[in-house]
Amino acid sequence: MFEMSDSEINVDQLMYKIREAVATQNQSAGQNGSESLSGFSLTGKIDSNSHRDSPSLNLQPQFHFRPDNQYHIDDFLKYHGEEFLRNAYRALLKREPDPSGWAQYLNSLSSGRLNKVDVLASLRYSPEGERAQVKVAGLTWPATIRRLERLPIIGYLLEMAIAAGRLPQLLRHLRQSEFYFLARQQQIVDHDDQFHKQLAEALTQVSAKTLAATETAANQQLVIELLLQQQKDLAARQIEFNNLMEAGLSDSRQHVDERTAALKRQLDEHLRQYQELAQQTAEQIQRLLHHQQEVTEQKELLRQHQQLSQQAAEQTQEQLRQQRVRTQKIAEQLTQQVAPQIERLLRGQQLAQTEIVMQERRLTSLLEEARKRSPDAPDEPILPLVATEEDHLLDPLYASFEDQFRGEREEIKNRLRVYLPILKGANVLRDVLDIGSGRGEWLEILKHEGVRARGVDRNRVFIEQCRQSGLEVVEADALAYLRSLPDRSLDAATSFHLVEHLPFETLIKLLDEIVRTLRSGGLLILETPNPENFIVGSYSFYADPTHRNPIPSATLQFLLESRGLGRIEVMKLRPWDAAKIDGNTEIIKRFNEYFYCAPDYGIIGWKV
Amino acid sequence: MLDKKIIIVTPWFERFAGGAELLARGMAREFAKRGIPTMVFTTCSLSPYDSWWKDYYRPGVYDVAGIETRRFATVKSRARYDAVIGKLRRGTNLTARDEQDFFDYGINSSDLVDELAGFTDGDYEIIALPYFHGLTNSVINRYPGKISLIPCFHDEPQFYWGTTEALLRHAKLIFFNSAEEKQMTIRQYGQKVGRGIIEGVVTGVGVELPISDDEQGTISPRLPDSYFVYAGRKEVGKNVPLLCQWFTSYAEKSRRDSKLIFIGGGDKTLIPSSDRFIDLGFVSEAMKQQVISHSRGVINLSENESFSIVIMEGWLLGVPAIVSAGCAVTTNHVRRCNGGLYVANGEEFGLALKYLEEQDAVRKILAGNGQQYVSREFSFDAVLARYLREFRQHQKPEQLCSTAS
Repeated sequence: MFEMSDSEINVDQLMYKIREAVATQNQSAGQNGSESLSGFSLTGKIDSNSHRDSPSLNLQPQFHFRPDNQYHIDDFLKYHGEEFLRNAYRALLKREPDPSGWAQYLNSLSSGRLNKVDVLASLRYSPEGERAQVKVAGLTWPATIRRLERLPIIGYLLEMAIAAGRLPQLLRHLRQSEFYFLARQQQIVDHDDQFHKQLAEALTQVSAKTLAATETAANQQLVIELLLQQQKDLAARQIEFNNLMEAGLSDSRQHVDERTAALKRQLDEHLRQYQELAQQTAEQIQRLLHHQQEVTEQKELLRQHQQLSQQAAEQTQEQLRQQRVRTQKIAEQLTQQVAPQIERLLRGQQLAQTEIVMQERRLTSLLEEARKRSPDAPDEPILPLVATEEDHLLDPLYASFEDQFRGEREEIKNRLRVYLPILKGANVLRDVLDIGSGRGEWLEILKHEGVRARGVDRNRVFIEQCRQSGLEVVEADALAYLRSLPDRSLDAATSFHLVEHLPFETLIKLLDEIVRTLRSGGLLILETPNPENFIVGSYSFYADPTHRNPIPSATLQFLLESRGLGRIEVMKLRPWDAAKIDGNTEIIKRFNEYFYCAPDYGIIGWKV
Repeated sequence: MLDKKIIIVTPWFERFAGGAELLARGMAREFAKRGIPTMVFTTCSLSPYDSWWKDYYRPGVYDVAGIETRRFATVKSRARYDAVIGKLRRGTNLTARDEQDFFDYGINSSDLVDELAGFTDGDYEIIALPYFHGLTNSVINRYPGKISLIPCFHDEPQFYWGTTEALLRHAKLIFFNSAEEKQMTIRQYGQKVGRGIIEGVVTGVGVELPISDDEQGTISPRLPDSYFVYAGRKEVGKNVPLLCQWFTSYAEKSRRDSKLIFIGGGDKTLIPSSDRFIDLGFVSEAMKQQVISHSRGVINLSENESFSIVIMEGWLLGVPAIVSAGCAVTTNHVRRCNGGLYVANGEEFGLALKYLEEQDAVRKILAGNGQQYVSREFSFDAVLARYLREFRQHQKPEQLCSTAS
């Protein structure tokens, strides 16, 4: 039946095969009742048994070559003509016929000069045939007879005798041949009929396809004709349009000509008017030029006048500017001169006010004490209190002195910022005690940095100022205050320019109390004038009448170490490099070292 | 989406299921399903086979499967129509007056035609079908350039009448069911009518298997193992006698016990009395689908097909088609999708049937090809998109502007 090669099906091919099968079926109608579509493939590939071309007409059977090279003469004699000769060559000589042998044998066979036995004998017994060693049973005797028949006279007689003897056999062969030829003739006729039927079928299909194509072409022709008709209509409309356009254009041209002539007349008139106008204009221009020259001259004079005026204005402006600069300089100089005085006056006023407040307090204290004691406790002396108050009599003086000699507040703050990295490095954020806090510069820095600190001082003027600035300061004697603090209650203690005011024994006590109150890992920062600087040691140290003794850094380092602090570090501060004398001589070096080295030093000690 | 409403004008709407009526029913349903307001204007007649000149329904507004359906009284005078039919039967040449009478006094409704005047202002796309009936001719000729036409042309005498040319001239847009139908129309009227036809769109017909929830879905045990199906009206015009003749010849020669099952109404006398033929008549949708889906093929030898929904449904149910090579429409469907066989004579028919009976694998491949073809080309989405594209392209410029704003 059908072969299924794949899932791709083409219905047209399928129908083609069905129609082919119908044709075949009709051809074999009556021979086989069953109808089948065998021999067709759905893919359109037709197998060998059902080739579309007319089948080849084979009147002679297939020759079978034998591998053992042993044939019988009848194996060859049942073939004829070219087929016989080709088989003989291939079987006996094992090759294809050569052109000359092929032509010669065919001529001999067709002329009757040789028969098939002669050809077989000639090939078999040729030197090439002997080498091939192919055996042909039944060939020897007929070949011998044929050779004898070719002898003169005897051969003729022999041939006649054999012919007479074989006459019945020849007659039988003749009948066989007659049947054979008639059968082959019928086969040819059948083949021819089949071929014509297939041809007719193919022509029918071609005709159908041609018809379909013709129909398609006719449809397309219709569409084309339709389009052509539309094109013709369009062309006709185009012509009509062109005619209309032509007529319109003709009218337009006439109108344009008339209009052009009128315009030309108008143009001539305008030209004449323009010429008159031009002449008038030229005269006016002449007058204007003359007037313009006068104006130019006047403008030049005006320009010169303006230039002079501008120069004068510039000079005046420059003079005014210089005057303004001078005035400004004078004002600045006056300001510079007056400002410190004003500052001092303001300071003095502030001190005076503070002093007045202090005095009022003292007086109030004394009066209250006197009022309390005179009636009820006449025996208690009032002198100690008076003595205490007497200690503060010099507070305003010292405050004023410090303002004069210690330096400006901002400058001092800048100097003290050198210790900030040390505190930050020690991660100190609270419990810092500044001993002798003075004007509170260091406390202000710490507050700004977020470190909780408090000061202790005896000078009420300083304390009042600090409190007004929001700083925490205790009015007390430093040693007494330290003694009031518990052990290891401070993270850091600082004291700037205090130790040089203390007697030695007090200094030792102070250091001992500091060491006691510092927590383990806490630190002490001290700053004091550096007596290594000759100017400091011999002069400026004594500017402060409350200074007792300058303390060399080595001495202080020794004292700190001896009282229990470690990791002592000395910082020489602010050497006067700018004032140093240039030169490398020993004397210059020593001079610079003695006179311009650091005027102060700081010393840091850690409680282990 | 379309910002207009759609009105479908067709002589019968609801029960009668001819090709054009099925087309109208499907379009109305699917347009509405896609959110496009759709109405149907039809007559009060039940079907062409039930005294079509009589009003089966009362005039008024009906709800038919969710579609607003307005029914109008039919034209009752049919004497002149019958006279034309008489001439046709006698083979007498018709005059132009006869042709006009055929349409004017065939199924028609002057009330409907008048009522439609209020809907031609541009807010509606009105589609009338098919060309064969008077109603379609009346509405299109009454409102030239306002109403679109789905002609459903066949190669039949009416197609060549002068009335058809007028109809084509007056239609707003023309929608063809197949390329062959358009080709035939161009051949006959292309030169006379011009671009209206050339630019007509081949929309095809939307095909989807109807959903049925009735309980008649089981296969009857009487049905044979191997059978083919003819689904449709049994009419001479559908080549049913030829089908019976060829099938008989096939069955006798092949010595097979093959059967041919008929589904649908029509003239039962056309079927020979033989156990080879089984006429089920009208069956439920579910039964129909079951019978077709178990068959070896759906046969349609009609040569007057403008689309053939039947073979499409067969493909959707996994069954190949056997059609007449004499019908260009069905043959080209089959050839385009490689979904079946087209036969020109009884011998080809016999071999085709034998082949489909014996080759299960090939039969499935053919059916699968057809199924893909229908899904791709004739799903309602694809078909309606073609209609909507045409409607949008032919909207007036001011409507486009108002839409754009």
